[in-house]
Amino acid sequence: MKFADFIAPESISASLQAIDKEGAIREMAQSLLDAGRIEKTQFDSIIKAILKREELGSTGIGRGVAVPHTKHASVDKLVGTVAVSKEGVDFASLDGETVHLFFLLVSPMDRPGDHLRALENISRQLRNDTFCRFLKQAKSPAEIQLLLDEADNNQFGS
Amino acid sequence: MVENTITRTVTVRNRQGIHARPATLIAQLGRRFDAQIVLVKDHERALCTDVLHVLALGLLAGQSLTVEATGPQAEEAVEAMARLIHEELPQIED
Repeated sequence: MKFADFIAPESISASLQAIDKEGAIREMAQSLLDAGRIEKTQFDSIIKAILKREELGSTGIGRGVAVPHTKHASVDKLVGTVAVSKEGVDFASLDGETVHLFFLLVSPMDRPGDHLRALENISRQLRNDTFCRFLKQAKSPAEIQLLLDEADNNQFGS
Repeated sequence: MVENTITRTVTVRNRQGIHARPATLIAQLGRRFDAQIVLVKDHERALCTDVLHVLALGLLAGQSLTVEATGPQAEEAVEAMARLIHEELPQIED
C-alpha cells in the first residue's frame, strides 16, 4: 500500500505546533477534518478512540517515530496524515526519545489488512535513515509530499 | 565457547497480524533476555527489539516466521517469544 493510497496531501504538516501527546493527536485530527477526510460530528469520537488506544501502550515506536491510530466506523477507507514536529513531543515512546515524525491513521472497522499494509509501508520507508532525515528537515508540506512520492517510487531503495 | 543459535518456527494467529501493539509487546519481551532475538520472514530479518523493523516484515495472520535467538538465554528467549506470538497475541485485542 503506497502513501498515495492513504495520506491526505492537504492534511500534511511540516511544523506541528503541539507540545504534548494529546495536543499532537488533536492537531493532526484537525488537519484531517480540515481536509474533509473525517466528519466533524465524529471528531471527538475519533480523538477519544486514538487516546484510548494510547492507553493500551504508546504508539511511539522508537527512533523518533509515532503511529497513533484507531479503527472507526465513520470511515469506509483508511485515511492518514503525516506531521513533523521540529521541537519534538514527549510521547512516552518505547525508547524514551521524543517524537518528531508522526503518521496518524484512521481505519475502517473491519479491514485489518489495510492498516497493517500501511504500517508495513511506513516502517519500510522509515528504516531508511536518509528518508527519515529528509522528512525531519522538510520545510513545507509540499516537500514532505515530494518525499512520500519518491518513497512510493522506490527512490529511497527501501 | 561457541554460542548456538536456537530457532523455532511459529505461525501468526491473531487476526490483525503483527501491527503496532503486538510489535511493541514483542520488543518489550525481547529486552528481558540476555539474548539477541531475530524474527525472520522469508529472507527478511528483524531484530525483535526494533519495532520499526518488526513492523516492516508485514506479518499477516496465517503467515509463518522463524524466531532465532543467540546468547546465554537463547533457549528461554525463543520459548517465551514463540509463546507470545503463537498463544498470547491471539488473546489480546487491539
